[in-house]
Amino acid sequence: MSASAGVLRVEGLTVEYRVGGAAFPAVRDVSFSIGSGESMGLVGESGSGKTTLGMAILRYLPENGSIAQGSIFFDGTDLVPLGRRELSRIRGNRIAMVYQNPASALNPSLRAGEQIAEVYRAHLGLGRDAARERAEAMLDLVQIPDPHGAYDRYPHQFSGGQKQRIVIGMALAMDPSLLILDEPTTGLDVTVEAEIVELFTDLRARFDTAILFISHDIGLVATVCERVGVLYRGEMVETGATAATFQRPTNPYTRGLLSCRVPPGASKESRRLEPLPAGSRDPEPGACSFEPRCAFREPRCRQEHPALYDAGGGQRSRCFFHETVAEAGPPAVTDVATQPAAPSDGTLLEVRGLRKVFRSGGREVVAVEGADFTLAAGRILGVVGESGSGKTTLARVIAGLEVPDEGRVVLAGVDVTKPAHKRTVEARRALQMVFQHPDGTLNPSMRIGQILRRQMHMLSPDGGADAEQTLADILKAVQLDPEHLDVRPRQLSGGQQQRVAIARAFSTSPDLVVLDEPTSALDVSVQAAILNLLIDLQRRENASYLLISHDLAVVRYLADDILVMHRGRIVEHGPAADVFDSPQEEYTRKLLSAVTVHAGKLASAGPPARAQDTAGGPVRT
Amino acid sequence: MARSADSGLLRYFLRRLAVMLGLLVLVSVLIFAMVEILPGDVGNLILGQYATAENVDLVRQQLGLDRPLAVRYLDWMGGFLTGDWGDSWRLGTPLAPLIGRRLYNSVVLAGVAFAFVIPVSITAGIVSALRRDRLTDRVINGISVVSITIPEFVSSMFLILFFSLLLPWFPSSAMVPEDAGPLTTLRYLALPVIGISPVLIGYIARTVRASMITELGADYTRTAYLKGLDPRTVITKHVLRNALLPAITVIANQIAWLVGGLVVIEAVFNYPGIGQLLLQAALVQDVPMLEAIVLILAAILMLSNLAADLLYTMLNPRVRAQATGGAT
Amino acid sequence: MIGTRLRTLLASPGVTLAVAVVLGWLAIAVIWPLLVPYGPTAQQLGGRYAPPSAEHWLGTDNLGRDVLSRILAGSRSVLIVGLASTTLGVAVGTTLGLVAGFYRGRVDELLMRSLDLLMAFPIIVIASVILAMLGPSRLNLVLVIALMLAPYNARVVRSAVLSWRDRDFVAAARLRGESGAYILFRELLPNIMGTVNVEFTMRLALSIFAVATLSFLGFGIQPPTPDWGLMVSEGRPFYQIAPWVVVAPAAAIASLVVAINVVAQRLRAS
Repeated sequence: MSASAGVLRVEGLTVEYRVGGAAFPAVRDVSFSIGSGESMGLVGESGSGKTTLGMAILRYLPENGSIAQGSIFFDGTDLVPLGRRELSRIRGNRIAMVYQNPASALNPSLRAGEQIAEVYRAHLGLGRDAARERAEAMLDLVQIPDPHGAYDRYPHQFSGGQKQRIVIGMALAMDPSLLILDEPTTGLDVTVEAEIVELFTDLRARFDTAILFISHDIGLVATVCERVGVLYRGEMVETGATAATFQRPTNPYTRGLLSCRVPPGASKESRRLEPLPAGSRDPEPGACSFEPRCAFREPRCRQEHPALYDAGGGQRSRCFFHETVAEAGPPAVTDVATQPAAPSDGTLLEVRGLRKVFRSGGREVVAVEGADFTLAAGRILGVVGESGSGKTTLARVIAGLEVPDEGRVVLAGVDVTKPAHKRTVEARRALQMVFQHPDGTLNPSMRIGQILRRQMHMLSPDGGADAEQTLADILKAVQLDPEHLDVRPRQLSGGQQQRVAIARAFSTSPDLVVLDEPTSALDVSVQAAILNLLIDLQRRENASYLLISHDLAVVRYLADDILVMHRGRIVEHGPAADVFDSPQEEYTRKLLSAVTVHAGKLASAGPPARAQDTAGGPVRT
Repeated sequence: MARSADSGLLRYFLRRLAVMLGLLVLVSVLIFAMVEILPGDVGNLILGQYATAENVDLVRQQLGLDRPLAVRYLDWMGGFLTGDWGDSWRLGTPLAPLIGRRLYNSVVLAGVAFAFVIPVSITAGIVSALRRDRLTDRVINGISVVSITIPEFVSSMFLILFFSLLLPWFPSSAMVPEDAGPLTTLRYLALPVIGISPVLIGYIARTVRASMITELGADYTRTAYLKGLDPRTVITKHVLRNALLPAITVIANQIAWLVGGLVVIEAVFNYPGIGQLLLQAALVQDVPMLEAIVLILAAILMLSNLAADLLYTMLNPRVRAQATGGAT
Repeated sequence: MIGTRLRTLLASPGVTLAVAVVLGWLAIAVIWPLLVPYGPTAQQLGGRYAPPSAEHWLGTDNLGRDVLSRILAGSRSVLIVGLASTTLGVAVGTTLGLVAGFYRGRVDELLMRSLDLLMAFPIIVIASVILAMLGPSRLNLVLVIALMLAPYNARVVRSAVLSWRDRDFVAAARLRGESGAYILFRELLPNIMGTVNVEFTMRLALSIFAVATLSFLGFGIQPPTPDWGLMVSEGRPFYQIAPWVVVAPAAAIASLVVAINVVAQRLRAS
């Protein structure tokens, strides 16, 4: 095949997993191609098959996975029928991979430099010294300080960002024609992520490698990739140039994904998030897989399976009605009914001079130092910071899960600087918490009804006959059905579990709710719905929130005021708009600029955030 | 850089040694208390059942048993450390040379056993992990399950039945003649070694298998394959290194098991080792012998645990860094 | 719940056989007086060392006692001591593990270091010494073996608790002001019951191993009570002339212990 056919051409690829006797297709009939030096993004949520696709290209599937159909042409050769030996020659040499969690991608028992050197030895047959030289040169290229010394160090002696650089170094060692990256910056701090992306952009210019960038993060893909493919349930539902596709989506799922993102710089006063509906039933076999959740669906969608149609402008869309979608443009902004902010009832929470130190095995870590702030009733305070900033510890101390070494926490005038079980029942009722991981937040051995009733029993024992009514009300408020009371947590989805957790927290009408990364573990489409729910509940109950998050867009959206934490100290504190638009402190500026690195390109591509003075009342699409 | 790393390791070793010695002292107190406080009459032991009360008291006085407990303890420990371990109540002979000889015999048996067990079990573990869920693995797994659970004396009895009574290949009594050469010795030791091995092999093989499977599924293994390294390099250079570390700990644990097993095996095969000595002492409540043997065994076990711990620390870079305070 | 458990167990023929063996011995332990052809201690000095025949399916021993009857009768003491010591050991070990794993801190440190010390020594050695001093009796046997089992059990339960205690639902319970006991027994324990069950079965195999070995060495059940370990030891001197006297009890021990372990492995895998 000619060179213009591209570095990678995937045709009709179907990958199946054999689970308990049945074959489950994780990737269905996917086709795309990447030209030399081009970068293509693959976007999808959990269950989209994006990781499987990446692994399949390198033919590295688990025991029960297999390529059922299709071809993978790399530089003209079909990879599918190749044997082990030939694959070894290609892997690490002409196709390389970088993925999530750099810490575990490196062998903890081998020296860092050695892990790069062995690539040279395996593929170029270089001797020990020559390989070492090349490895040190690569370490230098990925900006690891002191390459000679670094060669002899072990992975645990490097930071997360440095480890990922080393992994990138290993991947680029042989100057591969194709580099596959699977969520390479997930789990890394925002500032570190920005550095990696910068490194990446430099290296790309230098190496001219074709790139397949797999991620759930649309903003990141928009920054890094020229072209994009959107995966849903194993199928490619849209492809096209990144900017064009994100500005003018021609597929309902893509459109939905874009609109349920929290647009950077948007706040809850300016617009409402448009969640993707969850879908009340499974898609019909042989029909469109997105149909149950689609706002554009017609009867045809339930009977036929759409192919990838040419949607104009270089885009292809798997939808019968792609023209309608393209014309529909971004969803109309739902204006928020501008209520006057409820008059603040004064200070609800006061934190003075808080200090918390953790000691383990003779070493001391100061998690929080000198924290001083107040939170007014009915306001949302967002706490942002990177890992090690102390924000989670702060939340846990306030909630009563940890006891501070110094300082005071005062809730509604009552000193609560003690563990939760020593506080009064009233104090416990007044402060509740929503946690990050849906799968750990509910006791797996209990039923939902049991969990909620126990909560109400412990904190409002004189609820009495009203208890059942309260239960019914709160279920309705979080959009769950009464049937859900009899099931166990594992029978619910992540989003549903988080709703139960929110119901549990709100069932006793708390005054302050501490939210520790409440949506970080959820898919983007679910996240929007939960955020809307949180806003509604807050307004209804006039509760205050202490919102901990590393996701600056989410915090900007929800919070009235912001605390920025760095290494245990509060470095900036002010109204959200002020902190984000004109940050005072150096660290805050650095944090914000890191975010815009990856959100930046999308800001121009995504649906515009409208100002508050848009005419018209609330419009729902 | 290297020098500070070595001294860091040395300091770690000395610290652990000090802790171990402290624990050993504690253990010696416990052993002493346990044995001396529990009921059992030495007078009757030495003089027989029909001894008069007066004579029993006389014997007690002679042996110094009427002194306070603390004094007796210090006397005992002092004697122990200076090489005077007292005399056996049953035999009336000095303990030290007897224990020394028997200990030597047991060490020989244990040594041969480990020389056999370690390569076999590690190989079995690695092979069954690589052939996971296939026939080889299932067979090895089945054999392990059986071999771990059957008491050593039971399997030894069957061994004797088949390989000594029915097929006269090996002697059923492991009383190695004085002048035997290495081959003859091995022939005598064969059945005891095979008798004590199954449990050891079973545990070690299972641990190695589990650890191999974990490491084979690790992200860094995936990285190694995706770098284009061939399977042999991936396994020998990347996986084994991490997978075999836990094996060190298990092997150290098995030394404890081995000691217990020796008591049984030496009884079954009439082997003149320390296990047999312990058994005889226990059956007649020969207190000085019991105390001495248990203390020696305790010291050996603690030392072997310490050695294993040190080996592990030296080989695992991350743990080594923690132990020496950062320098590697 | 028992239904699914049973179904998992009966999934493979090997495991079904193992379950049958275990249940079989349990039944025999209860009803052996109805099954034995002769009294287990009835001596028949005229017919000593008789090989297996129609009258004596497993032959007779050095005192002319019917081996089959002794095997059947011996099942009771092995199982009683085994079950009693396992129950005691697991009860104590689980409690210690729960407390150590939940409360952590100094209690945990102290407990775990003492248990480590205990576990560093071979069971047989410690048990022999203790039984030597206390004197062999069924009760002592139960106590000593329970003492030996408890540390292993405590460790396993402790790690199970550790893996659950940091989950958010435990934090949610603390925020409600639940007492330590409530969290331990109503929130955590139901989630680790599976582990406890598996532990019980595995320790049972170990305790029967210990009972048999200690009896063989002479520290366990005393003659003339029939006991498998004791029978092996008594029959040893005459192994060449009357191997069945040793093989029968040895096979009985092997069958019971392997069967229990197979069941335990199967429970653990699920």
